[in-house]
Amino acid sequence: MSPRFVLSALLALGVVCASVSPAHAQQTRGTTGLLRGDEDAAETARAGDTDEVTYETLRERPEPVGVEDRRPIPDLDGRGGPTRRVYHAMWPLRILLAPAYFVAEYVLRRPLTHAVTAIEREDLITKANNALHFGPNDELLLVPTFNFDFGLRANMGGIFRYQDALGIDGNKIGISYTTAGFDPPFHAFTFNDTYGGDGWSLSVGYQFLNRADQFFFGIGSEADEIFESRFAIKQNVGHVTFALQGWRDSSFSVSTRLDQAAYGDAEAIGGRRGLGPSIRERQAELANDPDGPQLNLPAAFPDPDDPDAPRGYAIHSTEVRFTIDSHEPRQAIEELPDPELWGPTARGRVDVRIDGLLALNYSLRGGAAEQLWLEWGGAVTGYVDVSGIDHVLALSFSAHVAEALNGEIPFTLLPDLGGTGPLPGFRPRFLVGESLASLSLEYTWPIWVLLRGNLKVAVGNAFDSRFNDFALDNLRMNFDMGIQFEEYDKVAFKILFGLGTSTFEDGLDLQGFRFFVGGTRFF
Amino acid sequence: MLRFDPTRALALLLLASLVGCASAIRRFPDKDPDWVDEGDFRPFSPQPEEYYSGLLWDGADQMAFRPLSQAFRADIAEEALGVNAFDEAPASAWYTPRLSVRDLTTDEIVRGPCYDAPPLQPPFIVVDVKPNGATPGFFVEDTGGRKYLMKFDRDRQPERSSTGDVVSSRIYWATGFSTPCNRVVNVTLESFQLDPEGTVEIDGEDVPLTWELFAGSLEAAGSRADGSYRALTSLFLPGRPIGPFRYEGRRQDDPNDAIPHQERRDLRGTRVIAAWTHHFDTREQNSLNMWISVGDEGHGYVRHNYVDFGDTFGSLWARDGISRRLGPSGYFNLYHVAGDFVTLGLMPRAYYRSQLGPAGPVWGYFDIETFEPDDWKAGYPNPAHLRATERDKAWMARQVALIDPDTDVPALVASAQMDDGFAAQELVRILQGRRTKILERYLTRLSPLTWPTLRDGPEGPEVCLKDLAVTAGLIAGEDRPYWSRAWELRGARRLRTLPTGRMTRVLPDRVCVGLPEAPEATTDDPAYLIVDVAGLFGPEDRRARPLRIHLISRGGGRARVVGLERPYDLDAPDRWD
Repeated sequence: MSPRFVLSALLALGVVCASVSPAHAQQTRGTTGLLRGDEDAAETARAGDTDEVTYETLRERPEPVGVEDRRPIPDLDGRGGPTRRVYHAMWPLRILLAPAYFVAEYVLRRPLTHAVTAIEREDLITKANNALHFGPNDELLLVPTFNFDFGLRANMGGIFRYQDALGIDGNKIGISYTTAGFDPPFHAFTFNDTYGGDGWSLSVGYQFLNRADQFFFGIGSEADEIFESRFAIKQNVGHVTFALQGWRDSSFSVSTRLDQAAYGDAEAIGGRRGLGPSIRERQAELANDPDGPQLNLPAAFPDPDDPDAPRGYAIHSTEVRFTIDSHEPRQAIEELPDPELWGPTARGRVDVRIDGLLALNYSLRGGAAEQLWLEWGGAVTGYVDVSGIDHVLALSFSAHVAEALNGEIPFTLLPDLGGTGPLPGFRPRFLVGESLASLSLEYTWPIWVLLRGNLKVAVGNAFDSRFNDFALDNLRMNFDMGIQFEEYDKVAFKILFGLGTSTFEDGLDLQGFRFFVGGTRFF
Repeated sequence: MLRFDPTRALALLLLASLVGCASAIRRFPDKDPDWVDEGDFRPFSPQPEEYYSGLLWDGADQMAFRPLSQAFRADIAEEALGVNAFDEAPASAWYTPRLSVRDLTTDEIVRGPCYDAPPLQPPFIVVDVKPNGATPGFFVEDTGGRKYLMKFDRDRQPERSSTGDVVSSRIYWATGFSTPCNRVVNVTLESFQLDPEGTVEIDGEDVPLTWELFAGSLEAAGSRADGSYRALTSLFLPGRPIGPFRYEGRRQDDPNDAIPHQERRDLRGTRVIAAWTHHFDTREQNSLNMWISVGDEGHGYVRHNYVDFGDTFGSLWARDGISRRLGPSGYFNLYHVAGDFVTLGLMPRAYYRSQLGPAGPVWGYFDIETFEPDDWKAGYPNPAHLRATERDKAWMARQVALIDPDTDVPALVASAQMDDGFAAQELVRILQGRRTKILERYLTRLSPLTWPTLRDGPEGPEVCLKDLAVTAGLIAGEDRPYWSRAWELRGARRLRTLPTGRMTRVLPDRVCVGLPEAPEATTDDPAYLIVDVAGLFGPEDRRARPLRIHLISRGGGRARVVGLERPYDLDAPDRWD
């Protein structure tokens, strides 16, 4: 054995042994007589020691010391304290983890401790909250927002809410704006003013959208990842909506809407090219392989070489929606749960929800003779609380039809099954068509007070007019799982991971996945 | 030239950690145990600065950042520091041995921290209004010049908060901790006068306290039919407040603060009484350090106190889901949230089973049925609780065992002077039931034998022990089987097995064992004896472990108990004990 090895060994052992022996502290002096050596002494000691030991009650009062005179860990059991075999056995692992510990403790925890404690001490949170709430009665609220949807551009912005706006009780104004920048452009602005009373509301709204990253995957059941391309849109929408709240969670609304939009390849409407190829570029790429799938341009898609070609639409729409929902309205926060709705006796509780939609749309430019279509659809959903404590299975069937009576329906207004629709495993605008159908089985369960997990499997697809090409083999599958933050009448937040497949006929090949983080409902 | 070889050093470090350096069986010194950590009372100066504890950061740190950091530190909890040779926490500025060293009378337990407090002397002069809290609170002075914090209950759970403050503060006190004297008092508007210089904070500004402002804030407190109010008075603690104590680390500006707080036996042990009283709000903000002046030259020391027990006994929160999770899970238990997500919510959870008891919402989800002592959790992790070992919890359970369920518990509840007699009965029942569960859990693994005394038996010297499992009624004394064994420790590690003497039950709850003979022991050359005594919960009990008594025998029947251990296994003494 070499001297060097022996020295290394001694050094290593020295490190361990030095830390094995806890500081053999100064011996404490004397006792208060709580001696357990013999019975008499013990009994004596048990009489009348209920008050605390203080400096004054000590038999030998210690001398004053300076703050720098830190004492070592006292050896109170006379053996140097407990053995610490696990602590020492962990040293190799501790050395291996030292970099991670350094980051967790010195890069994250300690700086945050100082920063957040300072924020709290200065009451900056209240000040920030006060800064977000303003107005004489804090009726104005400004909240920053952030959205991430895989494949689309992450965007951020803010929402502004004005309760009892303009001094009118029950009048609520909401404004939101999100942006991902100017190159390519991404701006979305909404304004909504809702005035309501007990069980009714009237709202007026406006929405402006300018974004160049919209997806196009084809139309109808033939949509495919291979067609993935982008287009740009500038849109202005105004609406007036009257809504009634009915039995339990049921509701009825009627609205009228003006919708004007220009769309096309990004350059065609003044923006710069977005992410990935445009529709025309993708079409040209695919045309190089005549034997492969070909991308058809959507109807009325503007031709950049023809300045007179239509570049969008302007339509008027009248829409009626209704929901019949047997769910009891949510309880006030401080109320204890109703045993009929939550708890063992609620096990097996069944609820049903029926949604309906009817809308008539026509062109404002050429009138109904040029463009007229009817939109109708609905969904029937049955819910069973299998546990009584909100572990809910929901079976839902939905159908949505846009039936052209005159002219073509602008492809951007075709109903969409993906995104926030019944098949969220597909990206927005992946499954658009003149008729949609889906069947889903969803399980949702509580994972915390305001958080629910959801797991859904669904089949469905977009089809040609009146489900012309509907066939069981022509259905796609959707799987999605996520966590949603639910707060009644507040911003809902969602994390979702989803998968969408090709049709059964095409072997259910994976057609992409979706990851979404962000708010889903603002007003 | 010799050089340090890091690779070999690391290998040897591993080897050394596995083998260990201490190969001898560790003896206790031949002296009486230390019952006072006197170094904790050294006067020093200057006074430490006031510590500010941020509510949000403390929660976020304990729920997320500290666990992450600790995981990478590979720091697994081991036995506590601050423990004397008798496996007890000695007196310190943190702790006063009370039930750990003697039986307290019911009267002593009920008087608790008020043992030296004078009676309340209304009228109360309102000097300030408590700025935070869901219910009104005032700082008042009585005619004796003593200062109190006065709080009121919420309508949703009438009498719960004040009862929690009164009863739990006495339980903490009886088990050794320093708490304020909390008492219930009936007041009317006529019981108050306003300090002409009193202020109240409104929208961040101090404005003069007027009778209208005072009476308006009192309206938020629920009054009785006769217009009187039930109020909780909390007597100001002696000394000067310097902020809460932390449950981890040490204060750098307190030279007496030698033991990392998370390693303290006393702080770790509070997990058991927190579980018993459902004191989920054991965050650091509910503690208070007081600077105790010594002399006139600016010296002093720090005494550590527990304050605010108003959330004990089933506090209901605005959201039912939070109320249910307090105890079995906590405010936001990341493990439970992740577990419920990945298992699709199929894990059975206590927070879905709990129900309000016969008294309705008064005691919220404070119950016996869903209570499991090992599973109970503070609202968010408490570093000292997290590191509590079986020995720490058994230590506190031995004290809980001495709070009599049939006399002390009803008397404690009665001290809260509740109007609702049925709710009071319910509270007694719940406290009794939870106490039983705690004792069944923590007195049945490690030895509940304690308080050794020596006596001359008919066949020679005996060591007698109090059996807290019998005291607590977990098993009848006459049915309790015991066994014993003994060794003489020679040199550093050689053990010689010796026969123990006669074993005698001394009813109601003691057992005596004859000491092994050590004929060669003399005053100059004493023998070091180790005696194991175990009580079983039946002939088939395999879980019970012995109390290991270390004695020094000087022959001729002269012996001294020098140490106690509660081993986790049935092995003979070894170097790891």
